[in-house]
Amino acid sequence: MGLLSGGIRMRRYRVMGDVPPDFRDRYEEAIQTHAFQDFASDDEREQVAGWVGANDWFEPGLPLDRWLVGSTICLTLRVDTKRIPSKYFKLQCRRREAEWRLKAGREDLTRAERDEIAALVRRELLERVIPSVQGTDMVWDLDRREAWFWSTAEKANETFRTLFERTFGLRLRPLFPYSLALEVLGEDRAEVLDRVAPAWFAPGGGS
Amino acid sequence: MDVLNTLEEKAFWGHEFLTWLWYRIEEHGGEVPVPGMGTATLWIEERLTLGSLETDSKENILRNGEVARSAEAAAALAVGKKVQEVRLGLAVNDREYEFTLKGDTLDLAAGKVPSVEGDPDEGWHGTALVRAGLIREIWDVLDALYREFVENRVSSAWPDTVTSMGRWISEKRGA
Repeated sequence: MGLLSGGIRMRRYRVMGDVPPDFRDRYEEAIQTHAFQDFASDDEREQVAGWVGANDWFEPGLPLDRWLVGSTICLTLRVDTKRIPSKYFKLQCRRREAEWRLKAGREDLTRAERDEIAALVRRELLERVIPSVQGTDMVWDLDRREAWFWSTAEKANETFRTLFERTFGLRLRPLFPYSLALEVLGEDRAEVLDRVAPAWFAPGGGS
Repeated sequence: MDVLNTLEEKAFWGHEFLTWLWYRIEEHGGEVPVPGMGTATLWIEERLTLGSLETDSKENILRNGEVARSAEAAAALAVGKKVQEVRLGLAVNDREYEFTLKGDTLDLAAGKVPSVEGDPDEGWHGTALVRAGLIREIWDVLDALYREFVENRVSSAWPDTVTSMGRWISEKRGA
């Protein structure tokens, strides 16, 4: 499912603000800065996110012709996530705590010792977990100042908004019913919209 | 106040829009004049979800068959429920689309657009441009309809629309 094939599932945004005249150069640098980078070998993060090309998530480098298509910017948000199974994590922590007790020759561990063990186990397990890879397409229509993001999941949209705003320095406003109504009427008539209360359509009146 | 919270609080706009859209299609036809495009035609497909933000009543999820003409749909409307989600069909010239439109957010889901024959000379850029153009057509039609709804919603004609929609619901109940 995405820009190049499959079904359509998307949320639409208004891009607030102007695209600079030298956007080709500026955005090339910005996209490169926020391009996807794999987990480092000693990485302690559970998730990494960044831009990849919509035509190939695994090909490195994002020169202009990999994202500027006509008057649209097409990119894919790649999010790799490492998940440590919680039960296995707890078991490993218990095992390590037992070893620690034996070594220290006492029954009770301090809170700081427990935290240290948990951090150690987490680091070790993160190195062994294979990440799940997810890519979600984005199209920014520069003429319409609209961005489409191929997911309706809140968490994915939050990650997208954050990365978009960091990369391009422009805010995104979801085109939800109220914000679209505001655009239809004009921001200066916001008070007219705010006075509107939910209607009752069923015959015979209601609430 | 947080922008997203404000937008969520105003989700009733979307539910009213989808309910009005159903009424408009049945009572005034699904033809939609779209600037620069001509006339598009819209219809209700086989999925409709009705619910109420005002009460805790159960959602009615209707699937398969002529859901828009079903007794359950009419009964849900008659107790004040509104459309929360609808599956729509759309024809623009010889192109046909299908998609689910969500009332809370106006998100599109399970959308189908006409298949695109890739031009090997243009590579993936060509496919992207054509598919983006097709998706743009969906939004153009929805934007034209939403404009019509919003302008009516804040005008002095709105009470007449509400009365007419009440009559439409009564007729559906009697049908």
